[in-house]
Amino acid sequence: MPALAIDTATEVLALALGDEEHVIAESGTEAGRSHLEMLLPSAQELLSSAGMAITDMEAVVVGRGPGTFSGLRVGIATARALVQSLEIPLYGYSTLEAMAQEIAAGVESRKASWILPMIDARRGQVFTQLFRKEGENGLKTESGVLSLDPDRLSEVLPGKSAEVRAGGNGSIAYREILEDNRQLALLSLDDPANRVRASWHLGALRSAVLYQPGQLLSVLPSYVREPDADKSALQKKREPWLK
Amino acid sequence: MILAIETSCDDTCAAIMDGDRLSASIVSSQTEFHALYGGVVPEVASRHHLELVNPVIAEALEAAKVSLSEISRIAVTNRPGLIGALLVGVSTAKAIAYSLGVEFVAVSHLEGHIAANYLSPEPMEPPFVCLVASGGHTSIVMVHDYRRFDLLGQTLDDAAGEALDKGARLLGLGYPGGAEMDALAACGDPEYITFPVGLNKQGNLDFSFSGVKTALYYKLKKLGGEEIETHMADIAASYQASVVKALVGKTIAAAMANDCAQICLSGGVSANSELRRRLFEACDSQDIRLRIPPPELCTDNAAMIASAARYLSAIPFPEYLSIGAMASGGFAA
Ligand SMILES: [Zn+2]
Repeated sequence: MPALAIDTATEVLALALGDEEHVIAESGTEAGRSHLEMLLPSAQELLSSAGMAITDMEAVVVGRGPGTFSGLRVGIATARALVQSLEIPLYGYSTLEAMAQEIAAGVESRKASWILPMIDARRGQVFTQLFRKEGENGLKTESGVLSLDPDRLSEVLPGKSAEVRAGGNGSIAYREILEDNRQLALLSLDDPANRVRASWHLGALRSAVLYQPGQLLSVLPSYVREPDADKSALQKKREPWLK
Repeated sequence: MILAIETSCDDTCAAIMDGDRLSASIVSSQTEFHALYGGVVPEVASRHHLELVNPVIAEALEAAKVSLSEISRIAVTNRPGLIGALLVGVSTAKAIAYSLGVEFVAVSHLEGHIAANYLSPEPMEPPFVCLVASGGHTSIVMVHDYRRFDLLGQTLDDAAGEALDKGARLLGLGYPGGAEMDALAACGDPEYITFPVGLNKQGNLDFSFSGVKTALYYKLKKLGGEEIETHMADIAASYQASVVKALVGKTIAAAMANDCAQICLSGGVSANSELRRRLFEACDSQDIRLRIPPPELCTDNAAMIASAARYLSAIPFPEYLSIGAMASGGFAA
C-alpha cells in the first residue's frame, strides 16, 4: 500500500514515501514558517523522484504533533484534503513518538534506555513525553503528552539515577536550562536525530486507520494547549458606567 | 464547474458554481463560539476551520448533487484575512486541485465581495462603485469592468462593522453588537449627540472610525449611568448615524467624482438599516442606481469567491503548488 507521510509539526518539513515494509524515498527540508508554500512542491518532487504520482497513493499518514499550531494545520489540512479527494484512508502518527524512535535508534541495542523527545512549544515551554526503549525495536510510552517549562522536567523524569536521552528542537531551543539537568544526556546540537523524520510515520500503516472514505473526517492535531483566549476578558472589559 | 473555498475570517464556506449558475453555497458560522470571547479569536477560528472545512465541502457537493470528479476548477480566498484561518483554506484547495489535476485560482476576498454583485437574482454589470463594508474591511472600489478595479479609499484604522461592534460593546450590548445597535437605534434620535465624522474633508475617500469610538467613550464616561440608561437608543442612533454618514458621503462622492451612475454594496454592514435608508435616499436624489445583494451574499460566503473566479486566470501547475496566504493585499497582481 504506497503511502505519503507528512509531518509539519516543527520547522522541518518532513515527507516520506513508502509502505508498511519499505521506505521508498524521504525528505526533510528546513521550512521555517513556509510549510504552506513548500509542502506540495516538495511532495511533488519526492513523488516524481520515485517515478510516482499523487494519484498512485493508497493512503496518507500525517504527523499530528504536538508542535507549531499553524504548521500542524497546514500538514493536516493538506492530508485531509488529499484523502477526501483521492478517496483513500488517512492514518495519524505522533510526532513525539517518531522523534523518540529516531533517538532510540541511536541507542545501543539490547540496552534498556529512557528516551525524552522535546518539541519547542514556544513561550518558554516544550512539548514532551517520556518513552522507554526495550529490546531491539520496542518503545513504550511512560507518560502522557505534556506542555512543560524545561526547568520542570522532574515532573516526567524517572528515578534520579536513570539516565535519559533527550533530543529534538525543544532540546536545542532551551539548551542552557536543560544542560543544568544532570539526568539528561542531550543529543549534540548537530545530531540529525534532533529532526523529525517522516519515515517513522509509515509505521502507522500497521495500526488503526483514523479515517476511511465515506466516514466523518474528524482527524485533528494534538494541540495539547488550549487557545490563548481569555473568556473572562469580556467581563473584565465592561465599562464602569455599565451595571 | 467551480468549487470555491473561503476561510478568511470566522465563517467556513464552500460553494459550487456551474457556469453562471450557483448550485450550492454553504456557510458554517462560528459566531456563537467567538461570542464567548467578545470578538474573533484567530486561534479559535483556525481550529474551527480545520474541523469544518472538509464537511462543509462535502455538504456543498451533496447540495449541488455533484462529485469532486466533476469539478474542473478550484478557487480559494488567499488574501487578505487572518493568516492562520486563510492557510487552512489554501492548504485544502491546493491539495484538492493537486490530487484532481484541475485548475487552481487564488482570489482576493475583496474581489469576492465585489463579485457578489454579479450573481442572481439581480446581476449587476460594471462599471459601478462598490462599497465593501464589514467587520473586517471598509473599502470603496471603482469597478471599471470584470477584471479592472481601482481602490479609491479604505479605512485607516477600524473597519465600519468593527466600529459599530465596538460602540455596541461600550454600550453593554452583546456580541456581535452591530445588529443589536441597529435595532436599538431604530427608536432613537440620531441628532441627540453630534459625533465626529472621520476624515470628513471633501475629496478624501479614506475612512477613520477611531475618532468616533473615542468620542463615544468619553461621552459615556461623562454622562454616567442614569442618563445612559434613559437615552440608550438616542446614543446608539447618534453613534450609528456618524458611521453611516461617512460611508454614504464618501460612496456618493466617489461615484460623482468618477462619473458613475451605479453603486453596489457588499459586506456584512450592508444589512444595517440606517445605511440602506440613507444610501437609498442619497442615490435617489443623485439619480444613481443602487443595488444591494441579498444578505446571504453580502456577508462572507464562497459563492462570491466562485463568482470572482470566473473572471480570473488559473495559476498553472506546478506554480500554484507554492501559493501562500497573505494577511494583507488586494487585487490580483
Ligand atoms: Zn468579508
